[in-house]
Amino acid sequence: MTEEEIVKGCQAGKERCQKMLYDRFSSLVMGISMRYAKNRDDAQDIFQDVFVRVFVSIKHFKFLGSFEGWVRKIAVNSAVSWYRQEVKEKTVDIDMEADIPDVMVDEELPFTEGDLLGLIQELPSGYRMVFNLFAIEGYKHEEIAEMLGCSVGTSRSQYFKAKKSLKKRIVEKYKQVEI
Amino acid sequence: MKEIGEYFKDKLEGLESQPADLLWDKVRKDPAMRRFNRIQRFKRWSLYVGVPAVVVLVTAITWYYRSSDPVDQIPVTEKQETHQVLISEPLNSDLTESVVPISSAISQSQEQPAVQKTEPQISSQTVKTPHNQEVVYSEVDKKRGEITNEKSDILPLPHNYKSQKEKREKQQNIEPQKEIAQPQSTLVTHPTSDPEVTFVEDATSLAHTDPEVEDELKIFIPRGFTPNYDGENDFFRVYSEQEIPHFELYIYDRSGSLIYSSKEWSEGWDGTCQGREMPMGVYVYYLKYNTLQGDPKVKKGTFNLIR
Repeated sequence: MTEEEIVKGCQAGKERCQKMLYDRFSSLVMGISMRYAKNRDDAQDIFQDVFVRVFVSIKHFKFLGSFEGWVRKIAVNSAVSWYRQEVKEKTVDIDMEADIPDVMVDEELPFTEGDLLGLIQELPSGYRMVFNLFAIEGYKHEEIAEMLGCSVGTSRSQYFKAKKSLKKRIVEKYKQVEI
Repeated sequence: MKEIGEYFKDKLEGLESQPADLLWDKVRKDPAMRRFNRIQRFKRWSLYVGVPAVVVLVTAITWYYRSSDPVDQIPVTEKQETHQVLISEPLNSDLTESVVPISSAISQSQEQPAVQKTEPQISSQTVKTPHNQEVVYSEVDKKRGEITNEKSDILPLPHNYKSQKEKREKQQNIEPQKEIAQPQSTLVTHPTSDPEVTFVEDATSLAHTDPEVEDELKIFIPRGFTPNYDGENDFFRVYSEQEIPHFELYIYDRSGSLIYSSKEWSEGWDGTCQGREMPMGVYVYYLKYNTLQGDPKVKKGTFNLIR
C-alpha cells in the first residue's frame, strides 16, 4: 500500500491502515517526543497524544506537502501543548534583544545521538523547548514566543542559556571521555 | 568547530527511537480515537447501506406511481357502467374472432340468450326512428320491465376491420346489430354520420327519459384502427358530434407505459410512439371528459391496433 492509500484508509477510520501508518511513523514520532521530554515516560505521553491527534485530524490532511512534514508538525504541537500543560515552572529571564552569540563545539567529538539526547533531556524544560524549536525544528523566535506564550526576548535568552549549558555539559563529558 | 545548535541539529534531526509495544494499544484505545473510528465506520456503513436503500426506495416509488396510473384507479362503479359502443356491423369471421378478448368471448357466450330475446325489438325500434329520440326512449322504458337487470361487463365486440367495400356487401345481407347489442343498451343510429357508426347511450341514463338526457354527449370510441395511411381509420380517436369539454385521452400499451396523450379532442393517435410504429395488438385507452352538464366522466377500455 502506498502512503496515500494508507492515509486515505486512516481518513475512513480503518484500523488496519492506522496500524500501518503507526508502524511507519512511530519511531520518528518517538524520536521527536524524546527530544522534547525530560524522560521516556513523558515522551510516551507526548507520543500517544501525537498519534491520537494524527488519526483524529487526518481527515483534514489534503495531500498538500509531505505527510511526514505534517506528522512532524503535529508532534511539535503536541510537545508544545504538553509543555504548556504539564510544566508549570515559570522561568523569569532578562529579555535578550541583541543577537545571540554563537557557541562553538568541535564537531568531531565522539558523542552518540543517545548522548546528545541525554544532554537535551537534562536541560530545564524551558531551555529544552526553545532549543529544540529553534535549533532543530528551525522556528523563528517570534514563532516560538507565540507557541510557548512568552516574549521574544525570553525565547532568545533561553536559547542562549541552553547553548551555554549544553556547551558546558559537553566540555565536562568530553573531559571524562578524555580521561 | 561548529555552532552548537547546528551540531545538535545534524545529530538529532533524524533521531528515531523505537516506542514500546504497548503504546499502540494505548493509542488504539484512546477515547478520542475510538469515537473517531466509530463515526467513520458509521459513515462508511451508512454509505454501503444508504446507497442501496435509496436505490430500492426510488424503485419502489417509481413502481408505486406506475402501478397507480389512472388506468388502474378507475373506481369500480365506473367500470360497471355500460357505456358500450356498438358498431352497426355484424361480427366478422376469423379476423374479428382472433382479436376478441377471452373474457368477453366467455361472457358473451353466457349471456347470449338474453341478448337474443330482447334485442331484436329494441333494434327495430331504434333503427326505424333514428331521428326521434323521444320515441326511442319511451320504447326502451316499456321494454325495461322485460329486460333483465343483469349488468353486462361484456366488452364491446371488436370493430370490423375489413375494407369499406366488404362492409357494404355484408350490410346488404345481414341484419345489423343483431348479434352484438347488449341487454341494457339502446341503439341510436346517428343520422348524419357514417352508417357504420352507432352511438349507444347508457341504459341507466336512458331509463330516466329526462330532458337533460338529450344534453348527454354522444361519443364514439372505436374498437380498433388501422394506421396504414390509407385514409381510413388511420388514427385512434374519439368521435363526437360536438366538442368534448375538458377532454383528456391517454393511451397505454399492455405493459402499462403511457405512449400517447392528448387534450385536443379532435386529435388522434397515429400508432407511433417516439417515431416508432407500435406493434399490432391490444392497447388501453383512458378517457376523461366533462359531460355537457359539467360532470367529470371517465371511460376506459381497450382497442386493437391492426397492421
